[in-house]
Amino acid sequence: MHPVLKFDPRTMTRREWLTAVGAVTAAGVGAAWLSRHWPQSTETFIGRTPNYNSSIRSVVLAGMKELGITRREIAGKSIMLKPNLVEPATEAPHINTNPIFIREVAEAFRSMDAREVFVAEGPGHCRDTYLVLDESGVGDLLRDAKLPFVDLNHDDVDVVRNAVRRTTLKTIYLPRSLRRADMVVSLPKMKTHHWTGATLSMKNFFGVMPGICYGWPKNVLHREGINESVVDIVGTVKPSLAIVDGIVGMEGDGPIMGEAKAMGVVVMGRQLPAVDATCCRLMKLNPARIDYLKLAADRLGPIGEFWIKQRGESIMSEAKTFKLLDDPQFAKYRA
Amino acid sequence: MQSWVKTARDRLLEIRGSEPGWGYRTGGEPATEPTVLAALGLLASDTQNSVDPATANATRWLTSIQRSDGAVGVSFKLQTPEWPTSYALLLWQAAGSSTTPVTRGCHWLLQHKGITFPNPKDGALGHDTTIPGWSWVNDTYSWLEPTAMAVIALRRAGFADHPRVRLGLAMINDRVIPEGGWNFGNNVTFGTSLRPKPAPTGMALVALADGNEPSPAVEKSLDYLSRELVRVRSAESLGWGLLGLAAWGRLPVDASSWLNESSKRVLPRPDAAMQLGCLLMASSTQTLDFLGVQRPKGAVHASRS
Repeated sequence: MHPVLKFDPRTMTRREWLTAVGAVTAAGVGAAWLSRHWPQSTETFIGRTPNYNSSIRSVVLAGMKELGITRREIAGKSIMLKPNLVEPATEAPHINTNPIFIREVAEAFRSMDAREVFVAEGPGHCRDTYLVLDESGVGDLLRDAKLPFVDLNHDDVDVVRNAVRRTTLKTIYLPRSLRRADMVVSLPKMKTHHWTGATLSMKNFFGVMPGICYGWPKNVLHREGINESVVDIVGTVKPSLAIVDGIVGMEGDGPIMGEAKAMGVVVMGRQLPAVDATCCRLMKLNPARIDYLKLAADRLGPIGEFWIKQRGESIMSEAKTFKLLDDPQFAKYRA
Repeated sequence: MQSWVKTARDRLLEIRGSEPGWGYRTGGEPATEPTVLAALGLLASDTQNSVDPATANATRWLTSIQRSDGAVGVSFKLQTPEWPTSYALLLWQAAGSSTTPVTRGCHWLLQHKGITFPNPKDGALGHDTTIPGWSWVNDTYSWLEPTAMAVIALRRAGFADHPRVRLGLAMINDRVIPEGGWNFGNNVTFGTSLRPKPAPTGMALVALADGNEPSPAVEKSLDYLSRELVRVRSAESLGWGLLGLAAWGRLPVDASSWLNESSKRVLPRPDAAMQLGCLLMASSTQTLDFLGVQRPKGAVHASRS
């Protein structure tokens, strides 16, 4: 095989892509190869939101408009919001998706006439989901906003075919409440992660895997490979949208022991790899060095900057360096 | 009987409906864990010291879903993973069931262990990865809660001196967080202590209660729980946390009012069974007998008035 054919255009920069196209053409492979490998471009939106008291809802609605999400697409639908609630965190609220952020996103969908909006999560480190809700402040918010909550760790379970098979798992267990939702929306926190480099809208889907089947932590997925599992889960669940809480993120020893990092952004998009790649660029990490993004890029969406049309604010104007753990093994995420 | 206890018992019987056991959600398929915790709660809080028909049904149902190799899965439909086996053993023993399912269940537990691997040289983990405990899912690593529950169930069945139980206790001791308490089973990563949580700390303290004086690590963990439970009202954390303190004779004087407060929040929930079970278990020192706890000599339990 010509070496260029091993290249993955979705992870490439524009310069790399043009070089590859030139090489393919020169090799006489031509139009057929190009038509198979020409990536679909996508859009992500970056909205500036300085703090949790500012107008998150209007930024989210503006983002939906930029992404072409219309009232007609939302009206009458059941919307499942999947925040990142890893563990109880009174003393470290930047571990979890902020409760106000969850409420404002919910209200944005309600204002577009969604039939129902519910919140669902299966915390990965703590069996007592109500403790997580109490200590994160999400429990009070859900009650006040009349938002139903489903504990995905203890839901009824369906066995479904693994649609991607990057792991050896032929089937995976998924909570039945996923079937209730017409749209599954990832609401992650923008954080570094000491095993994967970054945890964003894709890694957030570890939290849909039922603990009664996978444990606390969901160690089966670690055994199968965190990166491979992330791709299998996202490719099987097929979420519709990601809205990232990048207002205050986490740097350093993420996902639970890092420090708060004020970023002041909301990042949105329909294709999760593209959203996460944009977040990485905002964090001054190289998305092509995040293994699950690299794995996802050949089938779940592009991560190359050339293929992502940026709406709203620019990456350059909003990017800030997220600290990584002070250990040589983490330097690779910057390169 | 305190009024909240009666209300919680009535609610448990109501949400079971005509099923032989309790589901994670009201109206859902019966599952091993909520069935065991609900039934143990009923048993522990029964002033007549009798096995009521609901508990008897639950124990029979558990026996009916036990696999031929002795393991008990999450539910009839989910025969794997098998971590609920320890829970089933506790109910069978507390309800005085036939010894056959207990013997088979213990045999299965003693044949299985979490995977181990050589300690990493990069210092990423602060515990000894070579000590086997029990895992949530076969062929995965050992974690705190399944290990604590296996130790408790096997000790209750007379295996306190079995080498596997001793290794399980060693694993629990090794995973304690330096400042006190336990979480899911990872005490230190990259040189930083992780945060303890009440429920796994309570389970670990129950598992370690062997009638001896508390070690310094146990003392620190008891101190952590005593401070933490003052503000915790989620049922699972409060219930297991109080049981952990009670196992070492440190039950707070306000425990009963905390349980009452928590039960009021839990009663209307669609997933109340397991939570009410935890609260009722923590309402009675009889639960410590069900869990095979050896109380320290001279331990004084605070009033539960």
